[in-house]
Amino acid sequence: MARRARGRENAVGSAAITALQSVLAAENAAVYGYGLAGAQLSGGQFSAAQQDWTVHRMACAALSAMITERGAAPGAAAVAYRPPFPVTGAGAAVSLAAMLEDGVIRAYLGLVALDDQALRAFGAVRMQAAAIRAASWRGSTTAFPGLPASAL
Amino acid sequence: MLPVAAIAACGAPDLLAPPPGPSPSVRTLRASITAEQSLVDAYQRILAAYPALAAMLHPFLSQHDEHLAQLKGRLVIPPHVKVTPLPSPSAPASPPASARAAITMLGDAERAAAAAQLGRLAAATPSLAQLLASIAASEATHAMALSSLNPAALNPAAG
Repeated sequence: MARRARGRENAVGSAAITALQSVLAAENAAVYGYGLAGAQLSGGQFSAAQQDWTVHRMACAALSAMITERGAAPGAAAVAYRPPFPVTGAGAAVSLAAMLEDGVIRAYLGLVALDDQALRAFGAVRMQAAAIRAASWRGSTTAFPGLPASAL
Repeated sequence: MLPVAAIAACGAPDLLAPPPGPSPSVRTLRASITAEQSLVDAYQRILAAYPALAAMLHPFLSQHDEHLAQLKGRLVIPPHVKVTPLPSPSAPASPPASARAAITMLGDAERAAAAAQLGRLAAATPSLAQLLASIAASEATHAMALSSLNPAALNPAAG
């Protein structure tokens, strides 16, 4: 009985770790991507990219700590991430920033499906912040940030 | 033929008990539907009072219609469960005194709705929690976008 309870606890813990590692991977990709985007931006857009880059870097640190606390090793950032299209101008940089935020929203949505209520709430709050950044880069809002069409 | 103990373990329904109420997840879903409907109503009241805002507000209203459709689509109440009907929307308040005030009011309502969705996550199934979190994120973006709208710039008569 006790063994079964512990088994369940481990399963819950490992689902949380897997979901947190996915968020960390998305945040690491965002840090790298905002570096690429920022290089193509100027003025207010450059400042916004710089600000968002900082937010994602801080999120990486926080997530790494959360994963370590749970007894796992945080996944390392890749040396480089290939953007989905060449980032050779301000327009592409803005599209990339919005796409990076979409990836981050999807990753936090994974936390919202966990049984751990604190992680659910954390994921939902972070989703809002990322959705606001995505909408401001894109200049428009969407009905279901992060949800794949197949879930609707 | 099942042993008697196995049949007993299946839990025969207690014939004297009152019909079960809706599950926490159904109650959560119904609360979300009511909240979403009242946001749609607020938009419609404001659009009736300030038709010049239609182009600005329509994207948000149509996204709320999508939220409402998704939420209602998930509401399946088993026939043996007794539920009270969804509350009818509260009596319409008089519209705000200016288009700017109306936009501010909608922004506040969006923010409050997003916060309330977060309060419902704990009682939701994982899949409903994801839908509610996504709707809350959409509402948070509406609040942000509404705060940057300038009705006076679009149409001086509307400000």
